[in-house]
Amino acid sequence: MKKSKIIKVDYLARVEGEGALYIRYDEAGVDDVQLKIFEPPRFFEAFLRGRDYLEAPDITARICGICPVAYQMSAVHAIENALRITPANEIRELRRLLYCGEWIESHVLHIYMLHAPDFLGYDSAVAMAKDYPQIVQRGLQIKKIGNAIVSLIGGREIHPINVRVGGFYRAPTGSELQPLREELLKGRELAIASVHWVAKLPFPQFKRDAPFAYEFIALSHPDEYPMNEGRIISSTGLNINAQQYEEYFAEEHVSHSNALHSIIKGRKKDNDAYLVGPMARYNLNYERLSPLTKKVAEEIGFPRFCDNPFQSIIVRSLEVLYAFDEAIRIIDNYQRPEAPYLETQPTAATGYAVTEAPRGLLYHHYSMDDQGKISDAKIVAPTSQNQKTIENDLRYLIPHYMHLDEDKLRSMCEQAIRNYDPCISCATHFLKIHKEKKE
Amino acid sequence: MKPLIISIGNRYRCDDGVGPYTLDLLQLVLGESSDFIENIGDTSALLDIWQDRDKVVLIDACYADDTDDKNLGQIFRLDGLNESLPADNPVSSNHAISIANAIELGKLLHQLPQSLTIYSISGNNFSQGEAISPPLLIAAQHLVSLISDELNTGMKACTSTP
Repeated sequence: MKKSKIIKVDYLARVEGEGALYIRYDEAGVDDVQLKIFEPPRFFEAFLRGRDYLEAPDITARICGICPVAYQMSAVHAIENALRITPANEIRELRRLLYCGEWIESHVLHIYMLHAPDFLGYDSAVAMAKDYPQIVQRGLQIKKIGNAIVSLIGGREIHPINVRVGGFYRAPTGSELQPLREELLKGRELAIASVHWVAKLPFPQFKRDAPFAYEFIALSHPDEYPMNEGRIISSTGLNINAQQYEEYFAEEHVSHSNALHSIIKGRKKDNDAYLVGPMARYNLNYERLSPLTKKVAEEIGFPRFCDNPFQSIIVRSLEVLYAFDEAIRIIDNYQRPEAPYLETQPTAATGYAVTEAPRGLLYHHYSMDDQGKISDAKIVAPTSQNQKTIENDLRYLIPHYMHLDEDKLRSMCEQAIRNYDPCISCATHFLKIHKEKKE
Repeated sequence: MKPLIISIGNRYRCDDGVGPYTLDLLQLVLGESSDFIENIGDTSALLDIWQDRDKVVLIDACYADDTDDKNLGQIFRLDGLNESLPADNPVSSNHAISIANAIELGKLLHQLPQSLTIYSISGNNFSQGEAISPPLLIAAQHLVSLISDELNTGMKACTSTP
């Protein structure tokens, strides 16, 4: 009889939220992987029903303490899609600036506080800070500038309140943005240093070859690196708009988790997972990064295509640099909108939007009646979309690292999960590993 | 400099919402005599928020292992600068960076306020939803009095401690 081993993690540290992991494997390979997410799903979708359409951005922003802007952006775009309105370009640019702030905040938190300790052998950012205080300090300095963007444009640092359907409650003046520009210039230099530092971390080798290669999915826009707009494209040729999302993607319930697994419809079970987030954005949109970002990527010898998820930390650091560059560009070209928002009138309609949250595609769909009461809402968070890919990574990873002792193998599994910066608060709740041996 | 009161927690996660709920009450009582910040989960931002402050009061929900129905709504008070959060930390909300880690980082990087008081109210329902358990609502009222007295008189409040 083969000896099976079981890895169980009852509490996964350094992720946002709570969950657990269960892996059963033996010498021949992995029998079962279950990324368990505990919370009851779909609270927010039910909660939104009957609420006024203008409330959706603020309510959904409270799904996650790390990426409230992403929820606000997907919500306002979906509702504006329903209302068939398009805010002025100045509003569009301000929203993009706000998203730059959140990308910086979220990515830097993950790079410095949650993920870097894995590569350097520390069990926490605190332990790492004892040996690398200046490095951690740099991370906090960069993040602080992201906070400053969100605070200025969003009206509040932690939970922005200035975003509304049709635009913003108040648009800043050009002169109000100038002090921020000075901070962004300093931050950009720190972001460049950050890329160079991250690139030197020791990365485990990991590659999924065909037929198990990743299917990357991200937004794509002809003129810019995607944030708020674009078509949904994939590395295998998909090219659809947000309204078609539910025609091509489905969510299925798995017994071990309260979060739904997203899959590509019409595929076989072993080939229906996909990957969203920084790696997908980078691989599908490299050409639209800023010249400076591409230059720094070349300096560190980073390729235009990355399929080692352990190196997603490098992609995040490049996206942080891009966000600084883009924020400076937006401020340099800023024209205050004539009106901070478009007036809207409710109408019975349905709208759809996908934006690029720091962790990847964030889909919102709302239907409302002629009084503007929401009758139906659907929200698909990036962590739900990546959950099956994370489980698959563990299936492919473990056979290559069976020689490690159990503690190291467990740590490797946790690190592999953190490659995705999973946000269980968004997907619902997250993780814990136990390792048991079973005769 | 005004005292800064920070709540940690998400209003849509049942008992986790007791921090912002208490903050709302304190804003009514203390008005402009204090500053207020609601933090729904990014605890790493605390270092910037509190670093140049004289007095900071932080309010969070906690899950204590022994939290059964009769212990719901217990108030814990800690001196965040001079007392370690216990290993079986009652202040253990679900945040990517724990409050204990944020304080440790603050010590290492010299980004702490002059005074940091942590109040935590024990709950046991952190699922999605708006309903805060009734004992926590009562505790929040009590905590408002404790914090108001402490800020007004400079005296330490007397609470049950872990």
